[in-house]
Amino acid sequence: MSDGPASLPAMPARWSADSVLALAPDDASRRAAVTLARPGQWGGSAGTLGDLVWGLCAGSGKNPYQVIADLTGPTCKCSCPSRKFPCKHALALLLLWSAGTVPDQREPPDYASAWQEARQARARKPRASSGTEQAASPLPHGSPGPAGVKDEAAAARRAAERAGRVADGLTDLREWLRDQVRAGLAGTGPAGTGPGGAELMAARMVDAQAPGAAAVLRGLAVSSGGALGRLLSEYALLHLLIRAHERLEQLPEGLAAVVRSRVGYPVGRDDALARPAVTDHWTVLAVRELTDAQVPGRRIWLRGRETGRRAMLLTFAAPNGAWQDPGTARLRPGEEIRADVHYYPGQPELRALTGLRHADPVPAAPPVHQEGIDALLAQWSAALEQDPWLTTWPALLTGTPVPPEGPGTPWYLADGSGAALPLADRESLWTLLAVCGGHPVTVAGEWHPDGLVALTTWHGNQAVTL
Amino acid sequence: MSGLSFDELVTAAALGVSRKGFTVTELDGPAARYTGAGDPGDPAAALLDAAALLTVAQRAGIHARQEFAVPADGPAGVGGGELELSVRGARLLARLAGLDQRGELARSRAGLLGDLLAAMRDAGYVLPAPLLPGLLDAAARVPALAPLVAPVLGARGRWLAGHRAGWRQVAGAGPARGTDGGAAAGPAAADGGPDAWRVGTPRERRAYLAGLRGQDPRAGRELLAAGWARESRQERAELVSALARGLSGDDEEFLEKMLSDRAGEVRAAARRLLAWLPGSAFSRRAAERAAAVLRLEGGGAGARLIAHVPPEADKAAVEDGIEPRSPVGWVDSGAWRLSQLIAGAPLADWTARFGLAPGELVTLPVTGAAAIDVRAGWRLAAIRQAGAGAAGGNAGDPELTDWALALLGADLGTVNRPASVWPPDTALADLLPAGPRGARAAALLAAAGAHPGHPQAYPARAELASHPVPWPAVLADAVLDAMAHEVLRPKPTVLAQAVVETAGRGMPATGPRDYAAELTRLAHRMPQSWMPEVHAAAETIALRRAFLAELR
Repeated sequence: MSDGPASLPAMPARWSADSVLALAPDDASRRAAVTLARPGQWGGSAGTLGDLVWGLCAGSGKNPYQVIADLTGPTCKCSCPSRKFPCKHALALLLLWSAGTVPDQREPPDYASAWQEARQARARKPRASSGTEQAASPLPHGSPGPAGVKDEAAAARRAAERAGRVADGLTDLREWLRDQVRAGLAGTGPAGTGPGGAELMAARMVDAQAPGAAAVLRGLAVSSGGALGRLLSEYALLHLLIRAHERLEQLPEGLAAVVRSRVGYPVGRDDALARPAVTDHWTVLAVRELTDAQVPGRRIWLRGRETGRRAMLLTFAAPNGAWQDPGTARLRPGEEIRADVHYYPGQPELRALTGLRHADPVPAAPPVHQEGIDALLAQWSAALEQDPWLTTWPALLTGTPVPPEGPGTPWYLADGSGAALPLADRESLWTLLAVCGGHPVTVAGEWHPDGLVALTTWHGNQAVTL
Repeated sequence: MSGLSFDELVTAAALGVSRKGFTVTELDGPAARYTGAGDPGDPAAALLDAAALLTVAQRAGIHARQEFAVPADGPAGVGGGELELSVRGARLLARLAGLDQRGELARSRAGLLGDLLAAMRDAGYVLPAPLLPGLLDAAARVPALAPLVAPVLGARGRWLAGHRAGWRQVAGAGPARGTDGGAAAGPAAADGGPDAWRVGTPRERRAYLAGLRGQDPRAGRELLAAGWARESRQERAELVSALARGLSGDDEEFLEKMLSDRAGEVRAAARRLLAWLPGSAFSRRAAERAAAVLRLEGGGAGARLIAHVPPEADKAAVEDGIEPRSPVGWVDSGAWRLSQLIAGAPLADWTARFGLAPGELVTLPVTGAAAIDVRAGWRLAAIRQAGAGAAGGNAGDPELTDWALALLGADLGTVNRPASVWPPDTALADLLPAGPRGARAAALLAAAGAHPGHPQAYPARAELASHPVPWPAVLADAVLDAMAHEVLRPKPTVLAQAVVETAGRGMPATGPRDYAAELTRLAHRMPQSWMPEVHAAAETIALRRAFLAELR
């Protein structure tokens, strides 16, 4: 985005500063990194070669910190004592690099090459070490052949044990839900406060290895004091999920996958990657920050330029702020990435992860395929038929935002046909209004039963995060 | 007949089904055809099943509002004829102003932001849409920014501002530029015609009166006089002040009547205007009283001033605004009366009467009072006279410049008196034209930089903070020279701290000398402890330069 010197062919495409800052574990690191990202702070020590960027950053100590980043991944290393990841120094180094102020070097300094070699050695190691372990492990039944069979058998046994635990847990939950309705929801007080509260039930679901159900209950416990209608809806949908789980074997494959995923059976990354790939130029339409959950997360909505398919990437951060998948976390609205996308099992196919990336993210043109509001609602209703527990659906509309007519009324987004949907109230709607200037604009976001969450709009060719 | 509705289920679930039981016969709407899928054996299960069906049916059946009327009030030519700041320019603006991701302004950057907005206004640029909400918010919180944000809103920004009360005030804060087209400015336009006078807000009425005075001073005075009795106390004071525009001897009679107004604010406003009329009876009375308290005795090296402080303020003087007692924090009432009485005469009277230049007068020994109280009077007179000059449109009176320079040179130490009785150095420096002011500031820096801990550090710091930006080259060079003495100190001195705080905004970003590079060069020789702050100042200069380059 900055007009830095033309990048050399060997160099990876330069990221935008936004994309670097998207990796920051918190606002404080973001601000600190911007302050540290001045050439003066680095005294000409910063350099780059291929995917490696390094530099010495003056800190409060006597010796400057050694900062190294590998752009594949990306992975960072810094000699500072910060427990955040990436630390402000690494972010600042990446910012400098993104601004085009880190010169190419022929040779990395010792501290950078040593780190790089150690990493490469580690990358080679696991295969070697598991080999040694296998060779060294005393096999009670002789030949290595049955070992694989035994592993499979063990895995099947573990899966059966898990299914049993889940079934037991869900049966308890089913009776708990029915008890609530028998005793009367009005009498139980705010959910989660009493001894039989939703909070306790959520803990029980965690033990029963049904984290999906646990998350729903926790959400109810947090939003105590909500209307009884909402509480009843949530209880009823949980009850429906349990009833579906009881008949899991008889359900069609797609619906069974939905039930498993809603209950919270894990699907391994490798299992998902083993599913068929959809290769396309994927435009990042919108990014939703998930701040209410126990760990911060990010929902990233993609649309394939050629296939027109939708996909949703989900990534979470560790307690120290490090994103589990920084390559995904750094995707910004308005970028496009050519990649293989693999959908998780389920219907409609939405949740996905990226496999092979054919190129780095590049700025994309504003999206052109947009539906009307009625088409969006038709898709939504068709999607609910496949997954009745669905609460979020990607929206890409052209419309005019209209501020509330009076107190207590919502914002609306009206399309060209005169249809209008309520918009979830957020301060950033004023930015949307500024960009539209009273005229139709492209809006990407999430549709929820109680309103549209506007997340991205386009000002000319520039994506604006709302 | 219609079946069970969701609300009926909520009522049943709220009370509980253990006592009253529950059976589902038929469900409402599309869920009706699945009524039989529920569990009939257990009332609680049946209710939950029915609720699930109705919830999903409701969610799937959401309809959009139809035939929604979108107000067609958006500015017609969005972007047409207006230059919108580039994406890069917007990014630089946000960075320099410390606007965070939610568009909130770092308060310490308001001054710098104002400079950038003024540069945009002068180059004919308007803010890009995504920045508008953040800057309207900032201007609503920091009122000093409002007149600078208003001219760069553009048609789109003014339309947007019309949607929120706090923003509407911001949009109305600036004079509409000729190219902006008054019509688009909405109800907050500066000149709303006679209606603005009849039914407008206080601000609009004041603007209307001032506008009328500019065209026809007499009509303006008569308009004000006609409705005078109906105006509130606060309105009267503010409207009288609006007579400053087009002020002449014709207004004297009207203003003399104001001197007996019930409200002190009105009397004070009238006195201020009468003092600006040199020929008025009010000014003559003040000049006579001034002449009576200060005489010149002797000549040449033996010349001295004799001050005669009247023991009590007479009634006529009090009516003309002389405060008989000193304000809080000012001990000697007699000295304060002397200062006020001296301030009553135009400064030119003293030079003419005594035949001495300002520089000579301010150094004369004084008998009968402290010399500093005499100079306090002259300082007050200088500030008052500058106000008259600005209102009359003839700023930059050369004699006033001489007086300001003389008074600034006479009291080099810090005088610890409130600004109402001792106009501070920076207020006097504001009276200087750019050339002399820059030269004086450079001299202050040179004096302060040469000796660590020099008392000049404090006046230099005050001057750096209030000098108009960007600084002239002579001052910027003096700042660099002064900093060259400071680089090896383990901690910044008062002077260096002042430079670090002000150089980013003050140093010229364009011109032959690259001050960002000069500061960076200095920073390389500095200790770790305060080097980053100097780097930050250098970076600000470089970013300002990049921003200004976007305005071409």
